[in-house]
Amino acid sequence: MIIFSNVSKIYDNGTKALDNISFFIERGEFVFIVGPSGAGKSTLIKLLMHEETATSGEVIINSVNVNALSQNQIPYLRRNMGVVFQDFRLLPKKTVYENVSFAMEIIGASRREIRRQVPVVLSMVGLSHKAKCYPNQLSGGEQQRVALARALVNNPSFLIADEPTGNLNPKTAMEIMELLNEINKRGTTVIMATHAKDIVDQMKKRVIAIEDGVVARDEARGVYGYEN
Amino acid sequence: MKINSVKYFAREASKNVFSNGWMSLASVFTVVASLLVFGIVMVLVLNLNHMVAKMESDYEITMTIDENLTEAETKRLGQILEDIPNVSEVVFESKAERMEALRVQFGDNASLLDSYQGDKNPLRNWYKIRCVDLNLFSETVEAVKPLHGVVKVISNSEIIKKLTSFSSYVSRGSIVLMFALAIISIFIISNTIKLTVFARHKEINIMKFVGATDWFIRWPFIIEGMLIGFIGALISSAVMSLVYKGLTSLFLSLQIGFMSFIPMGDIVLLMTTVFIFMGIGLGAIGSLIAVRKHLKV
Repeated sequence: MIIFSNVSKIYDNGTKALDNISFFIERGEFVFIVGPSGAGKSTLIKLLMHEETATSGEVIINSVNVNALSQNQIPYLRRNMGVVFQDFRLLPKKTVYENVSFAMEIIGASRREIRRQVPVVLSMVGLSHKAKCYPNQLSGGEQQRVALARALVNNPSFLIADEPTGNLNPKTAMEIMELLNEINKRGTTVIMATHAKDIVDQMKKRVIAIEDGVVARDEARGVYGYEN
Repeated sequence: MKINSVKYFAREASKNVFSNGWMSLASVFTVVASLLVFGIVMVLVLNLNHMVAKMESDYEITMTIDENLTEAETKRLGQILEDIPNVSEVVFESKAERMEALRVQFGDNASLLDSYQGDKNPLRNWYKIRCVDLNLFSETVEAVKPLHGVVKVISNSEIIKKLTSFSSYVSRGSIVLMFALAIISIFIISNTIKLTVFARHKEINIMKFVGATDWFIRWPFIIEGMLIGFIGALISSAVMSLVYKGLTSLFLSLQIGFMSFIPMGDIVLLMTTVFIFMGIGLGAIGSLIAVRKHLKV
């Protein structure tokens, strides 16, 4: 469970990105974070990942108060979450398989665990046959699937997707959304920041709209609500 | 630290060394340069001390004898020497005995002396004397010099004094140079590691959001530095061993009386150990600096 309780974030340059925001996300939910550019979506994602810390208020993830974490504990917090980005962030010199196994290596998994787990997630995202390809041999949609496989390989309790369909054509984007939906159905909480009106409207999931740093809407089966 | 992680670090570090080929090579060579200077000083000082120690246990005054002196005259000279006050012991060594001793000293290279056997032996007979009181040493030397048949007087204590002061001069003078070279090596290693850090910033970013600990991210870079130092140490040890072998046989063939050297095996073992520790140390310091400055995790 994720709780934002009266969270504000003011950057060093004085920009007030989030202003006294409160909401909570239950285990297993699928949530869209929407809003105009500069409204505070990215800041919210950064607070979740602990790339930034809240200026005031509390961010609680799986009953841990994130603000109080020491530098040493942050990596262990991040192991609870999978992250995918608009630009995929794959390593160009590693194969699909290696890009995924990398995420297991760096948390000290054994070769046996890696050999068992990587094929499982690759087949889940439908890329078993491309395990030996390099990212530049894949389409955008396939690259994002690799990123998803990497995000999921350590069995995180929730998945953060920052504009995951931003670089994809509508058809591929819908395929990624189906995959995210599938992942969500298996029990992983999905939090997705997006600008994609069609997707939000079609999925009929919870929508949290951020405008000028405050929660403008929080609807259970919401719509995008902005003109793109 | 998990064993899987250690394997991962080693793999990554060796990959980094090769993907940074030229910079790694440059770093290795600065390590080699500073270790070589250190090694030369170390070997020099150790050998000087070795010679001094050997001489102190040796005879104090050595006299080479005119080769035209008859056997009877030589014996008489021995008598005269024994009668000098302050002389406690007189030993005669013929040129044949000296050649035999030299062959022993040459060891494996003794065959170099084959052409100096018998009549062709260029050495002279000599007398060696030991003093009762070292304070009267210079008087004794003066008393010996004018004796009939004495060609040359070699007194070790003079040499000992010179060697000791030379040895301390060398070790003191080289401290600054060693320091400078160590700092240069650390600087260049740290620059190399900095390049790797920059080249891998994407990967580091991914590692961070997947949940790698800070030290997990740092270790490969530190090992990379240590590896550079280690390779440098191996190269310097090899170079020093070859140079030592060459120089000792060269000096021995010059037949300077007081020269004696620490055996090759002892020196190589000591030097390699010291070099490996120092090389790894330099590498670790260099990469720690780079990681602290450029790897914000």
